Amino acid sequence: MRRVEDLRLLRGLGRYTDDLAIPGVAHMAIVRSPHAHAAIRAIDTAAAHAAPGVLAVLTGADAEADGLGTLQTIVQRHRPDGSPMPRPPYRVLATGAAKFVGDPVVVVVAETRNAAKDAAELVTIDWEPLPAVTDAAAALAPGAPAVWPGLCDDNLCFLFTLGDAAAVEAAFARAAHVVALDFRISRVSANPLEPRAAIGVWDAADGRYTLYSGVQIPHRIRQELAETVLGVPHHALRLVSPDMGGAFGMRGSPTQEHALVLWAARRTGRPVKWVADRTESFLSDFHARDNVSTVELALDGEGTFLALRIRTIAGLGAYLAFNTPHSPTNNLGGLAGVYRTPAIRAEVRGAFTNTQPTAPYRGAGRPEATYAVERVIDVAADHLGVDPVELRRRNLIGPDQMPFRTGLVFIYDSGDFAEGMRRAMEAADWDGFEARRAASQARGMLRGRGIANAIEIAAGPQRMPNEEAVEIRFDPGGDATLLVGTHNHGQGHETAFRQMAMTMLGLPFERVRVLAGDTDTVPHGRGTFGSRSATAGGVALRRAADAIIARGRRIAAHLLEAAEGDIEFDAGSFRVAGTDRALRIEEVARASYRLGALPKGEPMGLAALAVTTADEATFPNGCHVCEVEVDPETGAVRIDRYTVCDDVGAVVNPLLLKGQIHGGIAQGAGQALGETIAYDETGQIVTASFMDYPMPRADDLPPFEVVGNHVPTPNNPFGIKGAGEAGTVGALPVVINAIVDALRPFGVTHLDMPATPERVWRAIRAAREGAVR
Amino acid sequence: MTGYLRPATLDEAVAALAAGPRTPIAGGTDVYPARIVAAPDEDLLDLTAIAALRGITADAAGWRFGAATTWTDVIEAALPPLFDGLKAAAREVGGVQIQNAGTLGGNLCNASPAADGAPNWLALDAEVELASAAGTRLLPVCDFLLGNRRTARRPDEILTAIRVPRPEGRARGVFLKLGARRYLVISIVSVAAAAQFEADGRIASARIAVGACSPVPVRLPALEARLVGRRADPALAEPADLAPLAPIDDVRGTASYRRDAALTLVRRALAELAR
Ligand SMILES: Cc1cc2nc3c(=O)[nH]c(=O)nc-3n(C[C@H](O)[C@H](O)[C@H](O)COP(=O)(O)OP(=O)(O)OC[C@H]3O[C@@H](n4cnc5c(N)ncnc54)[C@H](O)[C@@H]3O)c2cc1C
Repeated sequence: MRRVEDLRLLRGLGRYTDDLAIPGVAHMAIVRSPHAHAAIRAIDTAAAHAAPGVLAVLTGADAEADGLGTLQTIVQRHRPDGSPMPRPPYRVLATGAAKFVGDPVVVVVAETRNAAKDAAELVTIDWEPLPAVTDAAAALAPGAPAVWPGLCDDNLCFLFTLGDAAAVEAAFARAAHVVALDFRISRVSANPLEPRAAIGVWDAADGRYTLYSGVQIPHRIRQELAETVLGVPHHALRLVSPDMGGAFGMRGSPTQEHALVLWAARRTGRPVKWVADRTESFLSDFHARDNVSTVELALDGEGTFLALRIRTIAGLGAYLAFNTPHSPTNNLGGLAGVYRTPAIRAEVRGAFTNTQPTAPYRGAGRPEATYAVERVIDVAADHLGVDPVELRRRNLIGPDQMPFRTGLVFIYDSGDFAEGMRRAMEAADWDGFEARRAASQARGMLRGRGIANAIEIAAGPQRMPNEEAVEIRFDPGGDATLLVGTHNHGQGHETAFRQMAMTMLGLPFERVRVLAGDTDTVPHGRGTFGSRSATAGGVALRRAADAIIARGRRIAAHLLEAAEGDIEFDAGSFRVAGTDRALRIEEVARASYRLGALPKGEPMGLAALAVTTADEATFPNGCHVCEVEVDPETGAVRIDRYTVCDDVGAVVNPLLLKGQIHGGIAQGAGQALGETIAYDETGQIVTASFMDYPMPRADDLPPFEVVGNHVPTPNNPFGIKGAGEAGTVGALPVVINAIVDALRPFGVTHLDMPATPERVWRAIRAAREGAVR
Repeated sequence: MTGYLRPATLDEAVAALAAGPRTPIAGGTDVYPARIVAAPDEDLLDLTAIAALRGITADAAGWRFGAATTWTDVIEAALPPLFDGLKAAAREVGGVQIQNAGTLGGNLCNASPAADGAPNWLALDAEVELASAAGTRLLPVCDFLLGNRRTARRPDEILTAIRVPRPEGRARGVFLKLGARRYLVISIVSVAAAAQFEADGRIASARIAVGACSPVPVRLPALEARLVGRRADPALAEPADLAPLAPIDDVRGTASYRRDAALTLVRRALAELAR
């Protein structure tokens, strides 16, 4: 089935936040800090106030006077001494000092966007620049400038440890081989096509706010804004999240701008709109990843993995946003990979830096973990002189060992990893590599190949998956509306949920409508993140559909004058078993609204709400194979072939699945090849436009070969494992593995992402000069 | 924007410039992105309605490229191998939309150190034709480009055409560009080369220019001299030939990388000429 939403989206009929025409709307511009760290000595807003069309100029002091609360993180962590981590005040506007370039300080509301921007330029702030640090490792070095002097002088927000330290120590002590790798996972920005936008409305008659803004988790964000910032009951805030041009985790948190448009709307009595331009996006969207790690692998004489240990410094940014500590600490289980490694230990230090907060981004710790294992295995193979494929095979978890308790946190339910590798290698024509390499060599090019096994948790957390909600409502016409709590930001949920409902209820396509993203109409939702929507939403849909069928059976039994137990439901019809007497579900729905048609005591109407959780998280996995060609003289890298064999369990829609895998690979490859947020010594971002922040494009990527090795999971009724993050998880390590392989002739053993031509050239040159580590 | 003028003739255009300062605009692909955060506050002179400014003509003396000729026009024109480099550059300027709108004149007048047109014009030994109410003058491209975003164009002048002399005998051009990736990216280094060949295949004369490695693209005279009388061969290029370059360090590349990549590209251009 094709994507039903594309008819709308591709013809320019999508409704994004900026497209909504709200009568009387005013526009907000934000004055952001030009300094990475600076005290605010004074703010002069007089000239801005006096500028034409200006309705309000607001500062952090005004917000405090109005009793606005601060944004909070929901992830609690601790300092090494066990005390709770420091929580710097994450105000809607900075007061006292600004902590990163882009930190919002003043907002101007005016009749037009340009009037607001012009007036914003008239705000003068008396700054006292302070020392700043933007690099996570540098922030934890002794003597580094403190981001929060007094609150956290050493910039160490938390130390998080996981795994059996003693077992790991013991394993390392008796290991025949120990290999180590220092690496960095670059800091990146999600850069959705649609920049962030928000419209705040205050309804004085109802005493109620409405926020229009594309977000992944509408109900959860409403809760946060209502409880922690505005201090109002949930029902006093409606959140409407229309179409979104991409989110990738970045739209999964309440933001300062959400609070600001609502507050400004109340202050001015006018709807207030804010839309970021691209540079403002780079300076204010949550960034992601940003890890400095050392990973070590202990092996015995036969190459069996005995233990793995990782130490990571995670750049958090200057503030703790909703989920900031989540990515570096909550998906560490991925370090086990698809291997039997019995003992694993992780130590993560969260560092404050003078940068915007980090937030989950496609994979949220999963690609980072997989990168660590899959890179260090290649380093080990190189060290031992063993074939990297063979080394992986020796350590794979076998299908007969399922369920398998890994060395760190996770219990895998299913998967046949050896078969996945075999199929990926076959589809990639692994054995034809030597011929292709010779051909490249003849053209003066280096060819390398990489392999990486990816596995990640989806629809978690494990043992306590988050809930999801779906309501199915039949109207008196016999048509169904699904009110789903997850929220599409490009994946094709409308198609997938319609398709699932068609299968479950036997309804024709045009009789199903999907509605999401409005807290006034959708009863509840946890939202879309962590590759969960098909699983979590699907389970809720299944439960709601079961309830509909159970009620429909009672009604049909009454109408068909049969015993309830004799009614069978199949393909949309309630049938008296063994007869041709049947009623379509649409007819049952219509009858449910007809006076006198129902059995005595049966409530009227046909609707069911399910707020429920899947039994358990799932573990989508796959094997990625990548071949690159490197120009040894310029360092330019070209991905020539890319193959993935995925296990996402049962497949709802092969087209949507491929879309997710393709997009995920592009996103991982983009980070591996070029994307990085870079700062200069003063803390200015030097990659704040698409001129210097290279997003991956079609011509940077070869056609992807996607094959399947789907082993349905027993953890939910459909066997679905989730697919949203899978591509990225594998792409990050496999591209770098391939590039390092290409550079092996020079003795290069590692290269940090992004593998820009210059970095590759430097690695070659350093190796040639024997300066390699 | 205070005033916008779109004359249909060159006379009207130069008269408008004589009357007061105006920013000429052709494809607008440099002008517009530079002003994207604010509406332009200067008067504009749109040149796109002047038919005489667009198109490529040839005579015994050489070729004349109208200033408002687009990159797409270049790609689609039937031109001899001398212009293979210019065509290669045209195909790599931005994407198709940019090639459809962006012009040769705009690219040259904008005078970006990384502009892909400039090294080609140097290699082609081109001259610019500048018109004002006072008349028309000709200037070699090397004298026209003065520095980063600086040219010898007077505010009252319009660039009307770029002229390329017709070489004797067989001639070929080559252009190579290195960016952080293939398309839609600012060049880290670009190299244009053009050579005239003797009947036996030896080089009669050659011009080699490097872009993005100095405030204006520069030629490599030492190498050019060494090539005369020889067959094109990558081995003829030496690191010392790059002395005229003054590459900078920035986020797109360090000076040492640019210098090394320039040498690689120069050698590849020679290999290309040898084919
Ligand atoms: C996305 C994108 C990608 C790009 N990629 C490349 C690239 O790969 N390589 C590259 O070299 N450039 C690139 N450019 C820059 C630009 O497209 C080219 O330089 C183009 O040729 C400029 O031509 P134009 O007609 O659009 O110039 P305009 O923007 O119209 O003008 C540029 C300047 O020249 C002046 N001017 C224009 N015509 C005349 C004239 N006849 N007489 C006097 N002054 C004049 C204008 O006043 C202005 O100062 C890119 C631009 C964009 C937006």
